[in-house]
Order: sequence, then C-alpha cells, then structure tokens
Amino acid sequence: MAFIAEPVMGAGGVLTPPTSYFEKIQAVLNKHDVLMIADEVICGFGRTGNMWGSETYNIKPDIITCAKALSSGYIPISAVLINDTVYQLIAQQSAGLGSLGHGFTYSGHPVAASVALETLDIYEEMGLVETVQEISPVLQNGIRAFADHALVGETNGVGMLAVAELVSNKNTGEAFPSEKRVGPHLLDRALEHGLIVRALGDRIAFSPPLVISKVKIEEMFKRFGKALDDTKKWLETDQ
Amino acid sequence: MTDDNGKDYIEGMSGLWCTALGFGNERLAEAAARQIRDLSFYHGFNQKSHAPQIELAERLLGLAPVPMSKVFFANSGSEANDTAFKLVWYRSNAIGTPEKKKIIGRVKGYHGVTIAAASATGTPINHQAFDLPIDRSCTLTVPTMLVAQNLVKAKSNIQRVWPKISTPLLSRKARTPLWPLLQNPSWALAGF
Repeated sequence: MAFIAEPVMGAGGVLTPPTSYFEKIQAVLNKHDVLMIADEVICGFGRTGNMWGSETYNIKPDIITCAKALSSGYIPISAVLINDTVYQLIAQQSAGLGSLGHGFTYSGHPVAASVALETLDIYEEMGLVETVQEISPVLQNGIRAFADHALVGETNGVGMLAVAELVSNKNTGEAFPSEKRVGPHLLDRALEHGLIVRALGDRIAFSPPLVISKVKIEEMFKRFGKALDDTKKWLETDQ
Repeated sequence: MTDDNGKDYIEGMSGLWCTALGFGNERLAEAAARQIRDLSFYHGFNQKSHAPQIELAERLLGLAPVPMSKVFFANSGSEANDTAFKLVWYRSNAIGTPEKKKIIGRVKGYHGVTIAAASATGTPINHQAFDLPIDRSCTLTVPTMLVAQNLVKAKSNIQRVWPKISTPLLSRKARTPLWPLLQNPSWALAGF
C-alpha cells in the first residue's frame, strides 16, 4: 500500500499544505506500513524554494517521482527514486522470478539523460536554490499585493509558485458559478495584455521560469492587474 | 514567447511548469546535439547501460532529500507514477501481503493520465468515461486539504468536525486494508 501526494498540489489549484500536515500523515503511514510517495514532478528542482518540495514540507518519502524541471522541460525524461528497503524487497522478488519485467524502450535515453545532466550542471553552477530564494519574495509579495483587489479572494504560494483565487464575494469568499467561466475569461484578457497564465477553475496560477528577473515579474503582474481590471469591468456590465 | 502575428507574451507558467531555465538555452541544445552524435540511442535491457544514464542516476541519488538507493528512468511524470505504483504492488507480493495494494490519492491531487496515475488523481474529469479509477486505487473523498485549511483558519474543534466529515467515508462498504487508516482521527487533523 502507498500514499501519494504532491508537496504542493499543482493542477489542483496550487494548494499549499497546512503546517505539520505531512508530519501528521506520515506518523499514520508508518504505523500501518503504508509507503510514502512524493510526487515531485512540479515541486522538484527548486520550485518551492528548496531543491525538493519534500524538504520544504518535511516529507520523508520512500519513493520520489520527478520529471519536468529535471530537463527544464527540453526533452521528455522522468525518474523514480526508491530507498534501499524498498529496493531489497523488489530485488528479492525479481531474483525469484528471474527478472523485473518492467522498463520502457526509452528509459534513460542517452540524449534525454545528457540534457538532464547538463540541466543539473547549470543548476549547480548558478546556485539554483539560492537563486530561487533570492527572487521568490518578488513573486510572493507581488501576488499578495492583489489581495486588495475586488475580485481576488485568497492569494497564496511558495517559492516560485503563486496563485490568486477569483471570488464573487470578497467578504464571504464565495466562488463564481463555474458556468460563468470567469477564470477562462480572465485568461483571454491576460493574453490580450501579453501574458500566459493558467486558470485552475478560478484559481489563476503562476509558475514562471526560475531564472526570471525581478523586472519581468513586475511586468508580469502589471499585465495580470490589467487583465483583472478588464474582467471586473466585464462582470459589472454583464450583470 | 511570440505568436504567429508577432505579438510578445510573458510565459507565466513555464509552459506546463516545465522550463525552469526559460526557453532556448544554448547549452541544453548543445548537450542534445553532442549526445546524438556520440551515442544516439541505447536501452537499459539485458544488463545493458550507458554513461549518461549511470551518471544521471548517481547525480539524482546525490541530490535526493533522503537516502535513496536506485533510480528508474521513464519519459513522463505519468509513467514515473505508474512505475512507482507497480513497484509498490510488487513489494506487497514480496512481503506476503498481496491484499494490501491500495494506492491512496487525494481529492484534487494530480498524478498523470496513464491508467494507474489517473486513478490516483483526484479530479473527476480524469476518471469520467474512462472507467477509472481502477479498484486498486482509492482517492480519499473527504475531508480534503481545503477542508483542513479551513479548519485551521476557523480553529474548529476537530473532535466536533471529524464525525461529520468521516461519515461518508465510513458508511461506504469498508475497504478492509484501509480501515485502520480511516479510523484514525489524525487523518482529519492532517487534512483528509
């Protein structure tokens, strides 16, 4: 048995866990011999302000999966890391069967592996974690500056992940009816202003390159602000 | 980014949470070209391997946040998660607990679109009309992490809230191996 979790839920809406969330979960997992799988596909390689989301949230995984920033997305490659306890049991079982019958034609493809190695070299040379820790306050302060906007309920984020939730009632946090498609409407306005972001429902997600400059982040939020204002106007005239 | 009309955009999402180093990095282009010339393809079957794969595995083990032992490579996050689940099932058989094979995911958790990864994913759109989830996965329906966040915000009394949020789970036909987990109130506190 295993439990799988992204340290920060990505496609679910950039949801950060409450303090001590994973510690409490892992206590239960350990008690019942349930393995912990950290899905670091989004969080891995600096995204949350540490090399791994597991470090940011004190997760002690038995298995880690990672992809995306492993090659900076330039070429498809992902990896599964397993600890020695898990490995020994799998080795034992496969020795009994004669082989471990699992593997892909392109597993560890040399071109993908080389691009990933070069990516890790660049991360090391630039000081990936330090770079993120230095720039991420600009993103986090930037998103939180929208907390006062009439359309914005929650603003949140960690490291180079940020989210602003669009709500119909700022005081109660009431959501827009999904058929109103406010999130998608905002995306179109953002495109008009030269900004590509993603709407996860009505949660607008930001996950810019880790090497983005302060000036670019400020410009990004300036464009987001214009898209927000346009959306507000649309809602007012649409009522 | 520039569209086909020449209009410029800021890519606020790194594509799909991918391009940590931005776009058009020359060194990565060179690394690919060099490797295609040097050894264009090789696989890892039948006791074969090659330098880039071995080196990358060692680098990843060196970076891991906890001591890790082995690395398996695939081509996408979905495949990596499916592989992880298959290894969990393989392990269950190895230790003689073949009945304990549930993969527990979370509402709104996203792990990919292959059959097992999509099953562990907690969004209906990835299940509907695909006949998912498979019976070896279980996405905990309530309480979600959002509920937990609201509890933390409201400083609610967990003992009062727990029966309310656990009832729908416990009233379903019990999935035996999960039972002890679901009975533990610290799940609620932890956010389920």
